[in-house]
Amino acid sequence: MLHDKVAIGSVIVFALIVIACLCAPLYARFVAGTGPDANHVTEVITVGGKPTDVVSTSGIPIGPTWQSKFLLGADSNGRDVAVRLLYGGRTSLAIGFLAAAITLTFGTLTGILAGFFRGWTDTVLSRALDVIWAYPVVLLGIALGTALELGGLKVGPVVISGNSLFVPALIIGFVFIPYLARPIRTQVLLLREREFVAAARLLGKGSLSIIVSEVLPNVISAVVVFVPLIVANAILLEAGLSYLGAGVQAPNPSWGTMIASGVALITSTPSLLFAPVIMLVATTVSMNLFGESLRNALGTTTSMTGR
Amino acid sequence: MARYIARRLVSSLVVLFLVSVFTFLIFQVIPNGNPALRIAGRGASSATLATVVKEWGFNQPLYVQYADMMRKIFTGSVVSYSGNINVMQQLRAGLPATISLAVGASVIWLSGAIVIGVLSSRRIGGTVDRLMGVLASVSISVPVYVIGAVALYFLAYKVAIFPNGGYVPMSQSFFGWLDHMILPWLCLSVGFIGLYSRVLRSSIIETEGEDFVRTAKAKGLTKRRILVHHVLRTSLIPIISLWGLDFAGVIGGGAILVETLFNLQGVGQYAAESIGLLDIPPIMVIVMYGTFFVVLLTTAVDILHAFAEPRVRLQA
Amino acid sequence: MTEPLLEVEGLRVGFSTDRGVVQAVEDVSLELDEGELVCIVGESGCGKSVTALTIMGLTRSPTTRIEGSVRFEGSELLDAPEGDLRSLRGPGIAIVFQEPVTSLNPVQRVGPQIAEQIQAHTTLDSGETRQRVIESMRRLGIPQPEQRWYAYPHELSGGMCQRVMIAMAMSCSPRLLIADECTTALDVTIQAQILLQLRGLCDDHGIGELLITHDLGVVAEVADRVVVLYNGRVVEQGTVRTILEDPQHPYTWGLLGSMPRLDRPRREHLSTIPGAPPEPGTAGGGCSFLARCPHAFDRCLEEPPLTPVPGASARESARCWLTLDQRRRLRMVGGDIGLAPAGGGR
Repeated sequence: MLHDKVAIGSVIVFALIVIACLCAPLYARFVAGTGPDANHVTEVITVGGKPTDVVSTSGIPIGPTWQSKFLLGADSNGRDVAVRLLYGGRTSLAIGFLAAAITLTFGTLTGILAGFFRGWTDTVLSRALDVIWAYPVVLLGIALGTALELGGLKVGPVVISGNSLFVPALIIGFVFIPYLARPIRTQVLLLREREFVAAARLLGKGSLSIIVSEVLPNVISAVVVFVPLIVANAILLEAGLSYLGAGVQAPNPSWGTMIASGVALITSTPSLLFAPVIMLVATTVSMNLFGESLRNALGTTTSMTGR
Repeated sequence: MARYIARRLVSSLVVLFLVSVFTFLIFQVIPNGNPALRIAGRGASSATLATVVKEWGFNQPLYVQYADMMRKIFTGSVVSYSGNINVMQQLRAGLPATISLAVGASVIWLSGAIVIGVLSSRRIGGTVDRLMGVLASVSISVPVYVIGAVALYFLAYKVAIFPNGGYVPMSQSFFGWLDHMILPWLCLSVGFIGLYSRVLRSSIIETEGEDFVRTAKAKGLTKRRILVHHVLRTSLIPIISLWGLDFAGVIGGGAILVETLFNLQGVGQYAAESIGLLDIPPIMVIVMYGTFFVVLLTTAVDILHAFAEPRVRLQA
Repeated sequence: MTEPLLEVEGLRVGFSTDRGVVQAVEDVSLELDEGELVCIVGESGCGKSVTALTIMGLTRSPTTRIEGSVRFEGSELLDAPEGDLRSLRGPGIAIVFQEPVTSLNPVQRVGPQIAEQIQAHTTLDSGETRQRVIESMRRLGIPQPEQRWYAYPHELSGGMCQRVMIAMAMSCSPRLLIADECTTALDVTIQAQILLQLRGLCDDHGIGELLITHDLGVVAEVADRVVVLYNGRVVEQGTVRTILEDPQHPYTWGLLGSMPRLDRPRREHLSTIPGAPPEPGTAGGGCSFLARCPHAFDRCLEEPPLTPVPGASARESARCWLTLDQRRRLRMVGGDIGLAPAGGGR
């Protein structure tokens, strides 16, 4: 796989995007001189020698100036698009990774427990997975999103406000659990019939020990293949939910919210749409291409249908 | 076979029940929040709030609340307080558009996926295959509403080949209906074709390595017959299961993004608008119906699957 | 003298892989007449299945290199167009595989699968085809063929599935039947029944049969002649009597010696051929059996050709530098034909 140019290329692209977004505060301070929420509606800047309104009197914001200030133009609130793009990237990527982590942890755990212990554990867990699986992804996302938005979440001592970034991450992570848990469960079901598990049992090893020493290593490769897929889908779902208003809430920037405002202004300032779109697509495409190369290299045939 | 069907039906009833309970929990029981406030919507007056509390029985024990909610939903008497409209009526009004979208798109994406999947599998690793692989990865990475927005921009705004969104019922004008549906169909299909064609390709490659395909060749059958009758028949089976789930998802309002973008006034768009207003009752009803539809359709697809694949019937 | 039904001459089959070309078959030549049952014997990896598949043209692919000649009823098969081969598969040559249950289409009933073969090669209508299929099944001892028509492969036992496969193979009355380890996956009692049927097809219908097996018991039961393969080469061939009573190659001695016998006193240890069978495609110089042969001497560094056995019939030969006398002296170990342990027996 190290020879696979596509794989290497996509990893590099993805890494560059992540680094760029991490450097958002640096860019904001040293290049653009403004923050993501700073409003410059009434300002006037010089473009090509001519003074231009950041946001024209008819409400149309400036397009890309290709200068350090407002490199990619401004949005209808006069905010620097490039700065928002990078800050939005941090939000979207953070949510994407966090969600993926949630899915990976709970998905693997559920899959292994259901597949290994079978019986009642399996029945209960599988029904639970079926329930989550039954909801069309976006619908569940918006259901949870709107429900949690108004009041946030309070479980015991843990309080998460409705506006926090944890909420979309939790929701997205939760929604994708069955997509990982089911294939893992199928894999574990097959694994537990194998000889080395029987051998470990005969040696007197307890269930937990068997799971850790025999099952987990064999399941890891299947899980690893899913990682890029889940990250990419998490980022996409976040963008989708934010676009609809059920994910990240304004004024927090995220690629999803920026795409939403961009779509509205597509006829006047297409750059508003294309900037976040290109970033989003570059991120997800590189993740997906990497995932495909990973799958080819590892040669697994586990599918996401889990049947 | 009958036992399998019975088992499957029982299991789906259980899931349906659990789905209803879960939906109930999401909307009415989530900790830290006044559910009455949620139902009444943002900016509800105290009078509306009181009505809500009474009608929905928030001062009653949970199981009564649950029974109430189910009754309301299934008798179609849920009312949205923001606009004082009956939710069921709105839902029904949006169905034709959503169904048109689902049916048309799924036909396109299924046939597209089969064609591309088969073509890619003929020469694995060849130029066609690699190109299709990259295109597939790209197509599942671009959000569907972006494709839609770009398509609208270029094909409806810059060059007015297609109308700029909206829905025309078939009863009104067949060509008008077609004209308005083509772009949404294509946009929705792109991502699915990308995904399904790769799944089919893997499935075909796996099937072609099976013993019975070797036997088919040894019988002196033509390549065409082997492909269609033996390979495809087996390798299409997982695709059909996937298709059932996605089709149901679209009808259940899952194509919310496409509908909103193209202003099709379908069920999904209704849900989207309700989110904007933070109007819970419609969302609740749509989610409930959406999931019910998904469970029913996937059960039907599973049963069909069992007819096609006799070995499945032996499984638990 | 009539032309042999099947003539294989100097067959070489190599597969290109990431690690280079794997030569599965180095040099195989054999002949088979009508009404004759020839067994190809060897361990796994010796190239016997590849030989069988190549005869049917089933190994053709961009990554396969096939050289030599395979003539069926006089016509060359190796460079024949795919269409010709297709018409031959069924009415000319038919093959039965090792795993009957997986070799049948799992989502189709067995009756139509047999019918499919008939319909691909004849113009009978569905009624006549069904008749033929039921007849075929009945002749192979499948009970209640009218009902069995509707069965799925997984509903039938291994033995029954194998009968279906044979019925399918015989449905177009081929002149040559190839059976690749077709009884290996079955219990011994079923195995005996199937073998009896295969022998019957040969005797009663005059078809030629090529049976691939690793089991000398099968050979003793049904073979007319035997071809012994090792590392992609023929190392010995002869009549079944010769092979079992007067074998000429140390490998054959090893095979015979390693069979536990009920009619002799039990030995303390099961005798084996020392070492392990070579990986397909690992050919060095010299005799391929060199590393495992206790009777090797300096001449063996040069690969021996397949030489006819002096004083025997035309189709008996062995690939060994030892002379006839030497062989007859060296092959007895403790009163039995066997392979002496390394270092002993000379």
